[in-house]
Amino acid sequence: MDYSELVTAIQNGDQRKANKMCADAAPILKKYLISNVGANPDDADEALQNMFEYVINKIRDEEIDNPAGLLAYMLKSSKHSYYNMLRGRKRDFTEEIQEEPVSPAEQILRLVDKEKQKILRICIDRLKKGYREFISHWFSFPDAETEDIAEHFDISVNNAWTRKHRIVKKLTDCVNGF
Amino acid sequence: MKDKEISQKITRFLNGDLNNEEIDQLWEEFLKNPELFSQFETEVNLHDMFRKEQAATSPDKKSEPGTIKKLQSYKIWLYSAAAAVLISVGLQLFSVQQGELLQRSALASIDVNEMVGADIFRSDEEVSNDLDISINVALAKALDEEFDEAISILENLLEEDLSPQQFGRVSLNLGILSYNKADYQRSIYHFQQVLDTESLPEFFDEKAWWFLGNAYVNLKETENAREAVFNAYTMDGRFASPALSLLKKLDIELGRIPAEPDPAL
Repeated sequence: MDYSELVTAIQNGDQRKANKMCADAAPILKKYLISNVGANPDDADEALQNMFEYVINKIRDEEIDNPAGLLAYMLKSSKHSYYNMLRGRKRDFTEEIQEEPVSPAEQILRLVDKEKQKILRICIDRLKKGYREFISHWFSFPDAETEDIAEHFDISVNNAWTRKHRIVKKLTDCVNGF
Repeated sequence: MKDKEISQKITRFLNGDLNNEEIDQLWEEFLKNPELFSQFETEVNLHDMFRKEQAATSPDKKSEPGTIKKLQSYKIWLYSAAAAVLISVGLQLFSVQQGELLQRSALASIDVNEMVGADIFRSDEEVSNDLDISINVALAKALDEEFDEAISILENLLEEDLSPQQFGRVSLNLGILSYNKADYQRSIYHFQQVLDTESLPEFFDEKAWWFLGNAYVNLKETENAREAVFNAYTMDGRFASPALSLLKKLDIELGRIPAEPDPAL
């Protein structure tokens, strides 16, 4: 998705296109807030709503002159919007809001989807035996070097990455097709 | 970024090897290409599934998984400590007050921000109800330092027909508040209730193991403390580092490894 088009759409008053692009970005930004700063889904929605209003006004006022940096700006503004929202709620309390991302391990946990995992199990069973063995090996030994995995399967390192990417894509298509 | 580069970055993210800036760069790529995000979600779920399966098949089922590297690093430390005793054998100048020192290593109190409100777990489908609101009222009371009132509300909630999620939240919050009143027996009971509740997010267990371990340290139940702290450590989350530090002290107390000689002697 080319976000310079979002800038153009807003500046040209193309509301429909701007809305569509924001709607496409919203689910990913929502997951970002849930994972990265530990927001709950409702708070993430509210923070994003405020962020989009803020960013769209900035674009309209031509204060964002670098469309290439827009994504980084949106991520940063999402976090600020979320923390500002928390601060607004905690007006009665004295404690500081810590603007620290949650730990990497917790970021992963917050993205785990148990329903998708159930489907994934079915999809793994549907893979060809070789693919099934490869992907099981890859994720069973997360600390293993790719060189070791490549050697185990007697393929090059480049091929190991390609194979892993191909299998993950197959599994993703399978899950999304359910 | 090319697909292979992104794939490598995702692997590094799952292994906890990306810094905050790199993580944000990865999310920028997901925004540019939502299909990549979908693949990333698949990898996250695979990573979690296999991690759990490994844990289930490991000899110590209670130890959380995916932490081979961490366990190895702890073992290396353990071996180094064992080697140290060979060097210092004969000196026997160890502190006789390890037990008391150990207690001082436990958390003096638990930050009330570790308590959880009802909205933390609210999924898209669920709606808040009176019980959720009561949980949040108790949280607000605790944040306002009205601890007795918070405890009273939470204890009354235990009489209600709570969902597992609500029960987990109430139990964790009661465990924290009991700990802060130095009622460690009661806090242990509540933290164990959290651990016995199914389908709670994993970071909940991490908190429960860590606080449970500290409560046991306060009661000088060193074996139980070690087990709980070890479980917190192997979950490889927010408390891994303080858990490792406490684990070493517990092992010294249990005589599994030697105490370091007092440098002043």
